[in-house]
Amino acid sequence: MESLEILSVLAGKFGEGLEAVTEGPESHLKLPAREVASVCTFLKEDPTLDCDLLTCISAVDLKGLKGETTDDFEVVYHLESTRKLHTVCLRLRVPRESPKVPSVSAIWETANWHEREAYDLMGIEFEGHPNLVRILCADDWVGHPLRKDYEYPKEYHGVHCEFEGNQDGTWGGHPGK
Amino acid sequence: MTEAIARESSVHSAPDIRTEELLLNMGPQHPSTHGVLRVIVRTDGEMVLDCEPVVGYLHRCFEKCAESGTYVQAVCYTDRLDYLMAMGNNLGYALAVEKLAGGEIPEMAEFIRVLVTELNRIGSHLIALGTFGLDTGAITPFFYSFRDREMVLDILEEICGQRLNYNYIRPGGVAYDLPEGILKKVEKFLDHMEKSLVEINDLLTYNGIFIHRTANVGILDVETAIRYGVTGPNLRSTGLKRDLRKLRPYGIYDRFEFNICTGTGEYGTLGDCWNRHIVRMQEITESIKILRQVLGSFPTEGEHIAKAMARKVRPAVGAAYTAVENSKGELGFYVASDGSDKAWRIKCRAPSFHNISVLPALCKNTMLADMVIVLGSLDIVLGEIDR
Amino acid sequence: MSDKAKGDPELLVNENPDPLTKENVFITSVDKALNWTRQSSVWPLTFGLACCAIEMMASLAAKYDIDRFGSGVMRATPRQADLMIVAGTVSHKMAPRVKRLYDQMPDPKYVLAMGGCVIKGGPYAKYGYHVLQGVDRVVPVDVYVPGCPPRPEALIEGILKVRQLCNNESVTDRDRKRARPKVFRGFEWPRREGEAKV
Repeated sequence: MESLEILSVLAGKFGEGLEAVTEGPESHLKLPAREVASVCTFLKEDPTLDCDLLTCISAVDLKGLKGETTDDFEVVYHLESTRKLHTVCLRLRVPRESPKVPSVSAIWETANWHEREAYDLMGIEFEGHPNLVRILCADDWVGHPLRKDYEYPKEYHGVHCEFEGNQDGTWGGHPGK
Repeated sequence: MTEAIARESSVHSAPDIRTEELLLNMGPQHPSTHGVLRVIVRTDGEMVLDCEPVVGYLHRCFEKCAESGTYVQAVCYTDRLDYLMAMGNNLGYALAVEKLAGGEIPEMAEFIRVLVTELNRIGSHLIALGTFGLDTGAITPFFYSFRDREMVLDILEEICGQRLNYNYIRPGGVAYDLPEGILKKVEKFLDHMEKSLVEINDLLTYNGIFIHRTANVGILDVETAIRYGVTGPNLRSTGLKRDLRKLRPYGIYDRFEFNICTGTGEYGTLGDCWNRHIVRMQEITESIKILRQVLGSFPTEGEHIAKAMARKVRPAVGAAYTAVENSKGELGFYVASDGSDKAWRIKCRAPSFHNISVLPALCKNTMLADMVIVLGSLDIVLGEIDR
Repeated sequence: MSDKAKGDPELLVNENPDPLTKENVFITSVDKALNWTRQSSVWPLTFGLACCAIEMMASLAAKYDIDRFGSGVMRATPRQADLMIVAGTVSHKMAPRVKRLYDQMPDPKYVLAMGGCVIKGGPYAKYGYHVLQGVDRVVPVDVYVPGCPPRPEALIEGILKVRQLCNNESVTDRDRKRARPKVFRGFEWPRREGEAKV
């Protein structure tokens, strides 16, 4: 199926809140965050759509982006069908103060680690995820690094974190002294 | 085979012996984990009940660093993702940016891209087979494969000056022209590689001990693979013919004829460790085939690449996802642009991230030594798992 | 001496050996003898983290063999290793493990920082929030080998410098005051007063 057909089928079935966007480099479906689990279940189980491969879940911070008025996060899902050979792209937005999205890890196992990564690096909370803990950064890391307003740490467990530049002076010493 | 041995062992047949589970920590510094990977293993004696890979020990903030520079400056960060197939990463990123920026790539640059990417694919598979042999205990094939890999690195060093992190394929084309006489060297290498592959196969692939250790171990079926997002040789070895170079051809791959390798199932079953290994061996043969076609149809004249390269890349506003077939699987880049010369967001979909997530499903009720074999056969690179 | 040896100009033969040398008796100091054995068998710890690990493996392979310097046996356990080649980027999650492995190595031990990432952060220097900006923030480093990644020849040169550092050890210097590395700029090796430049 062509992606435009798929998007119109989905927009027609799930009604309000969904919008198929066809201009730009990638045609995608905009949907509200609360619908993502039902849309994904339909995409996986419907025999004509049959999207069995979740390729990627990406999280984007829209704060400060030219042309954007809000500070939302955008979560982008790329799905593919290995039998029907078509691709689908879903994009949803969540507000910065409460970035909660229903988890799709029960539908595809791939989503388990992708959602942990989105939580770790961007701070998006996936409701219903079996084990939402940090995956890439250290377990007791503070902050969500890929946010545009992230502050770099000065110290981590006694180790000086900052980049010193080309100045003379202390490098940080070594524990032998 | 391993389950039969376990059932016969005296521990399980003597009901009055009390056994305890042991929580064993493998890594992050370990000779067999192919990098800084930590695997927490719950064992009952020698049998693995469950394992959990813990990643993040090499998290190098690729995505944040790539946002800090221009699109062309970010190419050097993409090298260091899957550092064994750096040209493939560069290519994936360049295609992703070109999808947003538009523009035409010179014909000569397209041919050079295929040439260096396929050479790099051979190099990457050679390391995979060398280190997999080390995991099974065979040390000699490691030296053979590294000897052949040194020839690939010599050619690539002559082209772009670097042995490992090339920074060569950039958005808009490639960084430098090919030096004189390089195509003859490539041809000589291909002739040598065909003979050497027969030698390595005799040493390792069809070796009785290797077959005994890898056949019927870690059998992956198609549904589990797709559920976990496994792609590349690991998915093809289960029998599914899926290769992005044929499915959604990029560059000039549609001009070349090559097969999609799914293994033979000669020893063991489809989807086991031996089959994953033979798929990589077959892919080296297919890459040699593509390279011979590239050499046969290489354009004799073309504009100077360096002059045609854009210094500044300013894509249109928007975001798109582009994927290429790397030696580990489907490598994708989701690039979001705000119209300036710096990227707003670059997300990398790394194939090894998914390949390692399937380890717990493959290692239930196997021996600890078999778990090491499964890990080696998945061919992971920590640079792209942790980014 | 055989007849063949007498006439052959290429063969280096000492015409007037010391009478003790003829009997295979050599007199030297304990320090010199021990340091000679130490430098001939510097065993590295397999501590490949990232891309530099591949160049370390390449230097172990047949083309740039480091086994001819005695360093071919890579020990997986720190308890048997002399030299920790930190090859690749150290992240903050990994840094405590680097320190623990360094502590587990018995004296005399050396650390070789291989690659730009462990010297000062490398390409991840400023914007890498999770990257340790130089491994000398957690362990004392003896030799720095720059490059991204350094060629196997550069790594071999680094190992040769470590072999020269073995000459600073002494059995009377139990807490290795003279051999302990100091943080310094450039490539000046630690020397005792009056000692000639290496």
